[in-house]
Amino acid sequence: MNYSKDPNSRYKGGWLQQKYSFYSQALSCLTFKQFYKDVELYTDANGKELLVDKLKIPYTKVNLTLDKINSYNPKLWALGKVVTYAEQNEPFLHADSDVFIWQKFPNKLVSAPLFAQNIEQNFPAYQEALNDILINFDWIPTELINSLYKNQSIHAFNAGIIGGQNHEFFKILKNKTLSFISKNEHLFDKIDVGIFNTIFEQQLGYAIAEKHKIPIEYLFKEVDSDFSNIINFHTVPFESKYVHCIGYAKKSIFACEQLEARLSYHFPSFYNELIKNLRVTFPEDNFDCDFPEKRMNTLFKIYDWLETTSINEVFETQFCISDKVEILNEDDKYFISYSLPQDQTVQKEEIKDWLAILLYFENPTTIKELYEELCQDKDFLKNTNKVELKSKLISFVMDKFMLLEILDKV
Amino acid sequence: MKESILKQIKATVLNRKESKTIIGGYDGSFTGNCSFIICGGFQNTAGLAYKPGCSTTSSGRRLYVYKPNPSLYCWQ
Repeated sequence: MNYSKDPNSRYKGGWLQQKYSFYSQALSCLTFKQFYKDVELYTDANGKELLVDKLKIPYTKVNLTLDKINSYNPKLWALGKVVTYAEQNEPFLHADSDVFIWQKFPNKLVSAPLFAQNIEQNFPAYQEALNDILINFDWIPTELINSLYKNQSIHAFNAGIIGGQNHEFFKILKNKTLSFISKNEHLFDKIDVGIFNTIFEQQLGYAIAEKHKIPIEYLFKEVDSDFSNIINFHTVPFESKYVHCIGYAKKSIFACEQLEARLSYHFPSFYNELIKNLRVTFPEDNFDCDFPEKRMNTLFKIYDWLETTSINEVFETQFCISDKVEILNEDDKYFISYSLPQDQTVQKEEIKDWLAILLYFENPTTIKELYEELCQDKDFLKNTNKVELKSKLISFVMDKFMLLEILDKV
Repeated sequence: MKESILKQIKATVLNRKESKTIIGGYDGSFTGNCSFIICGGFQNTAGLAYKPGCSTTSSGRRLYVYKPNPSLYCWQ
């Protein structure tokens, strides 16, 4: 993987800018260390030099096991993960460096023979790549074909976190993956190698577990293909205790902002040291914060409030549409106009669908008041799960309050 | 006015997915429900097949075909 220029490789990890990849690595390590004594890094010599020796990310131990895969195609970013799983001979939990936690995982999960973040059934990205693989590859693991045939749809697990006690499973996955790669490497120019990673790690992993009848325990029961319910920075920590900035969430300016703000809020001295170390390591790059100081201060005040606030207290807090927001009436349609707090660009959106909820907050109102008013309608309630409704309303309001500053806390 | 907003909110909450500022996912495109894998039995010869609910004549219908592989077998 040495010196790869691939946007998903060592130096960028799929993030909007390289610096966010390092902030993510650091926030992941530091939040896990809040709850776990041993947080080890599996990398190669270059990874150690950069992340540990230069950037001083405080892992408890560094393993250089990935030196042995440096000759593989650098786009195979999940290969290092699969090799790392197979190295384990004790119960373990592996987390991606874009996963952050605010709570320990349940014992029931981590004591399972095999656990993962969530199941993925017929998620969009697999199909195109799988089609190309089925057409072009010389060899496909039997388990993959059998699972497809049995389920008549694509089943995989998401390995944002993965682990367990069945070490044999991970060794089989590694061996099958290495065969899958070596027998088809000469055909990589005919497929999307990026998505192939999810196929050999997550789809093949699921298929092997299925073949060997290994039950899989999941952290989340239901996750949509946009993963929106596991990227809830705006409900941390009163509801969301786990954030995985998966795939193109890393390209979101809002996710990058939350990442940097959370790192500097929870770990201010480490953040300042990291910026200094980054400036020394990459003297030509800019590590000034991309977001206005005023915005960061606003976020820190919100974080302060949430540190000591329960979900019921959020539920009973009054919010109203911000003075900075304009509501426009044009051609019998209503629009909302506001400046993004991240970069001051002006946004204009029609008030319809979920945004209609904003109109309820023209005067100071609690989410609870809205919830109770909705629940007075018995016909509406027949089709509604009350717990889910409460959670969705809180999420909507907090999203517009914290990420967009469209709503203010009264 | 308030009644009309509430009516709109009820319809939205029931029928529309919550709009969130941050979403993620893998890069890729969805190709519909009419994709499926075909096993040719022990010979593993790939071929065309019919899937209930999917058109057999539409040009948009997608079929997966894999190269014959003697080591493969299929659950029947």
